[in-house]
Amino acid sequence: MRRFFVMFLIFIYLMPATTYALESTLSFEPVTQSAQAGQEITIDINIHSDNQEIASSDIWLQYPTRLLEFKKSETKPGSLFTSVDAKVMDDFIYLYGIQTNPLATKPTNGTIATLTFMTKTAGNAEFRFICDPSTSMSSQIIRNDAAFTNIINCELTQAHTAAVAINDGSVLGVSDEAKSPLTYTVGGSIIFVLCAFFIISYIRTHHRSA
Amino acid sequence: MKAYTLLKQGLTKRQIGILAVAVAVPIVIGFLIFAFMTVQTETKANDEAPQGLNIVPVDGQTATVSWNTGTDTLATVEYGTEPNPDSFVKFAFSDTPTTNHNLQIDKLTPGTTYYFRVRVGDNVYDNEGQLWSFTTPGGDTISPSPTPSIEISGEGEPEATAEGTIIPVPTTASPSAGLTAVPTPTGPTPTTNPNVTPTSTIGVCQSTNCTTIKANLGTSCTTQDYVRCLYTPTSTTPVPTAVPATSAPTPTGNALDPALKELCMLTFMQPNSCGSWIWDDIETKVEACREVFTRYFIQCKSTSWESTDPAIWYCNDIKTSNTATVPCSTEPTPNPLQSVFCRVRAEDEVGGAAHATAWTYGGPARCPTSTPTSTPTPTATNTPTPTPTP
Repeated sequence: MRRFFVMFLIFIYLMPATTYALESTLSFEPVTQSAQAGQEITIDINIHSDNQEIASSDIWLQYPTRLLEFKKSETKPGSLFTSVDAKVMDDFIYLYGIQTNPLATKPTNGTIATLTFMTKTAGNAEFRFICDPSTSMSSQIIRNDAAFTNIINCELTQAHTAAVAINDGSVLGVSDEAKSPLTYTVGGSIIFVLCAFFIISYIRTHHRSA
Repeated sequence: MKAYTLLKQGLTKRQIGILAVAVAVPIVIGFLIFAFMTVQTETKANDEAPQGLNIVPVDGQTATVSWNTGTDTLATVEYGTEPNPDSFVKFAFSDTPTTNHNLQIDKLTPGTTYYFRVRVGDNVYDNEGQLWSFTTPGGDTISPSPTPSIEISGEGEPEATAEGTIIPVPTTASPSAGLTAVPTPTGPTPTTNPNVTPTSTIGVCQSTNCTTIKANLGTSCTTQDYVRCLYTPTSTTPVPTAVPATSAPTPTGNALDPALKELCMLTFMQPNSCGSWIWDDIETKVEACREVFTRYFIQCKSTSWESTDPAIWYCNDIKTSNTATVPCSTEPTPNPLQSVFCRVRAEDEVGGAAHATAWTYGGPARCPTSTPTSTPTPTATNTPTPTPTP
């Protein structure tokens, strides 16, 4: 009976974390960095599919062209997709990753590509994903299912931004880190697990003493 | 039910109390987090709301949109020539976070009415669904006023003024005086602006030619269209009418129909390792492909296919299965850390470029450090050895 009780408690505490984890998002790495004007910077475009088989992904990026120059030829594909390419579309970057072998799709967590930029002048540059399913320029994560469903979570994806502090002279500070809903959820889950641990410890101690 | 019975029969009062607390604590904490995030989001949205939005056309091709916010924000103006946000594929956005936004929209067409909305992060400010609009001077609507005129329309009488001020509120406020409401249609509206990227996926994006779809990625097609083409079983793929489904190979006949070659082109080639390669099976294609193309021609070498540098050849062979081991026969084994580049095409019994699909490229695949060292061919050249096709 006591075992059932303990298992039930653990289930209650871990359930929120497991349900919220079923999200597919894009993110940047690093979230913040600093550089001097005229210096090259790189930024990874990451994907988190949460154990779902991904066929492809469209990524629309917004960045300040006044501050940064995209070096398309220096784009480095990650190991997740067999076909990766980037295109400059006006003031945006369109990046795609495709698994061309239908039999090779797998849960995809990692880097789609590493993009390189040349910093032009001092300022605070921010990278953002464009994710609005009502428009044609919207980032997508396509699951390998019968309907090729777009499973991207736009709310979480848009919360993932990256900032670059470009300085004329010495390297100064960096921008604030964006706090996504995922941050709160992970924090909350940790609190839950810690609470569960202390409660279970209390029960066991009390049981022994009784 | 069983759990309830167990709970009812076996738990002490103290355990029931602890259980109640254990259930209540996450709920309370979750509620507090949710409430905190909601309040924070609303506060942030209020601070980010554009105030005192102002439109000033500089000339027929340029206009400036300016407004203030309560906090430093990055913002985007999404605009187009149709009063439909779905057609907005042109943007102007701020480079740095600021409270005094002043965005310049250029490359406009003179004498054209533009509609726009403002996006700040996740929030869209579209004048409560009624988009803001302005008309650039020039064309048939040149304004006699020394100050470029703006046509901003509202629910009331039209009021033409160059300094029309708009105070947008994202979801609750009605349009300010002097603005004409431009109802946002619920459905997509045909776009006539030549600068607007077509958003329709009808046509090229539903083609059975996956290569064409891939060439249009980012403009009119998405990878969803591409993988749908790539992954869909080929038995449902329509066969070009020019190619009879039962056409048999003619060993001494003319070159194959380009439509058939395109239809039957292999869609992928992938290394399992630098010495093991796989590509899609022609048997999975439509009957016309299976009838005509009976074998594969595979080539592998040490440099990329764009390179003109001397290369070591690891494979130049005809295969009947959709896999190959590199080296294919008597060629040297790739050295450790050597990159191997391969390509493959499907051929009929005649062979040669006129009787084959286009190349499908794979790799490169880098060999592991444990690969046995082989003796490279010192006199290797970039010219492939003669094709063993008839």
